[in-house]
Amino acid sequence: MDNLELVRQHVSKANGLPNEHYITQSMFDEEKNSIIFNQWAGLDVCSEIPKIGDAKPLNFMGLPLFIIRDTQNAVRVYQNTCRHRGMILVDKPKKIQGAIRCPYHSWCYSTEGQLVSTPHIGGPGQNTDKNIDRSKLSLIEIRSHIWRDVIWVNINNNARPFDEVMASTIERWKELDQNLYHGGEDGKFSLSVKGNWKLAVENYCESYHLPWVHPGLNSYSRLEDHYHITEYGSHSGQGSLVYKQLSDNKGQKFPDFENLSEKWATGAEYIALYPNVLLGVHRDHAYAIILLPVSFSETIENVHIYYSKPDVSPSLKKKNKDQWKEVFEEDIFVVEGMQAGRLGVKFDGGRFSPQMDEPTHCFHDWVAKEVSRFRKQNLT
Amino acid sequence: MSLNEKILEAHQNKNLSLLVELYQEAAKNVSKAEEENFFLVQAYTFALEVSHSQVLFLRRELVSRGVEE
Ligand code: FES
Ligand SMILES: [Fe+2]
Repeated sequence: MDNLELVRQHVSKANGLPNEHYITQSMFDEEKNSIIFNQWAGLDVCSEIPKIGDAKPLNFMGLPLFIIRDTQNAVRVYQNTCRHRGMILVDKPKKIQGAIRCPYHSWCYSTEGQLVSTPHIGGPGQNTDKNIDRSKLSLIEIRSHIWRDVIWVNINNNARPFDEVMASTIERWKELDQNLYHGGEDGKFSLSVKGNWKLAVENYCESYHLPWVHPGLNSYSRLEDHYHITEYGSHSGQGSLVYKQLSDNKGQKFPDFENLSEKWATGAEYIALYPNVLLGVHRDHAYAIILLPVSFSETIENVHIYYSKPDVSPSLKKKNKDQWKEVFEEDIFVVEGMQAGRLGVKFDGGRFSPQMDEPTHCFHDWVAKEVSRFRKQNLT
Repeated sequence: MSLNEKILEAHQNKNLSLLVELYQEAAKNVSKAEEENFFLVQAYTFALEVSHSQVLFLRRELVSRGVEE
């Protein structure tokens, strides 16, 4: 059995992914091509570009992209590279008033991606040339989909439609599919972690570590009040039966999402949508964490928190943000510690608790399956 | 300040709407068609970028001169 077959055995027998998936550039690149660019990956959130014309450059695993809200109010993702000599088009977050003008020779693109002018291309004062067909030189648009404010991208344009791939989670959270209002400056934060992106996913989907790493959660969220969410080949996570709403000193709470069933009165769910988006839902707020892999040993975690109404109490919002930040910061030493531990050359990927680690194994199994599929395709 | 200096200053300050005006003025100060076209293209390009009220006028002008699609 090769290493990946060892991973794909039943959770009670399996080993985890081998070290090289965490500590080598070659595996980082292979996973980029085999799983991240072939799937629906999270890139950013629409709330980062709230107004028409807002544009923001992003580097996604080495790929220069920008997101923009076009004149029709649709969010689009483009490769941030001019079709002329390859200059970067958007170098910082900015407002595009009319056209996107390349800073080099001023080729101009509409926010819908069309090349609208090519100044002096036929010599001074002549904007046309018979060899240049503008309609074939639009910006390269990246296939994207918006769900729960997250901008998902399928870089290689080869995944099944988003709604199909994510069908079971969309169905599971149907009643929570309501307007989400981003918490603004107190609704977001970023963490930089010296660890492979997969370790952040793994740690997110299991509850085994809660009593040890988050003793504060333990008082109201005991291990036995948690259940696993595991769908092999798709996603995994955990649910809680004892969610308690935050309240301020006057007993004020965040307003609920509307018409929720009884399950959500004290229920909360946390799902990792592979490869890189971690979502959390509750009766009165939700969040999305987008993991941006920077290198095999470095990951940025961008956290965005949402509410059911646009104007929730600022002090409560701040309190909620601080509370989540504390929880996610408590996980950093684990992710960094597991990263360091994977330099142990005799580590065999480790074993799983058949009772507690199914969601983690589910993720490893998915990575192993997708990487092997990619390798087989490349052989043929 | 000469027109040339005004244009340089507007570039410096990234005052693109002003550049739309100044380059049109520059076009009026030259006599040859190619020179006019050059300045009008400059004006038009910045007009596109800032969605200037004269963008359509400039485009029509350039199209009628046979230098824009
Ligand atoms: S590189 Fe963009 S216009 Fe030349
Ligand atoms: Fe944790």
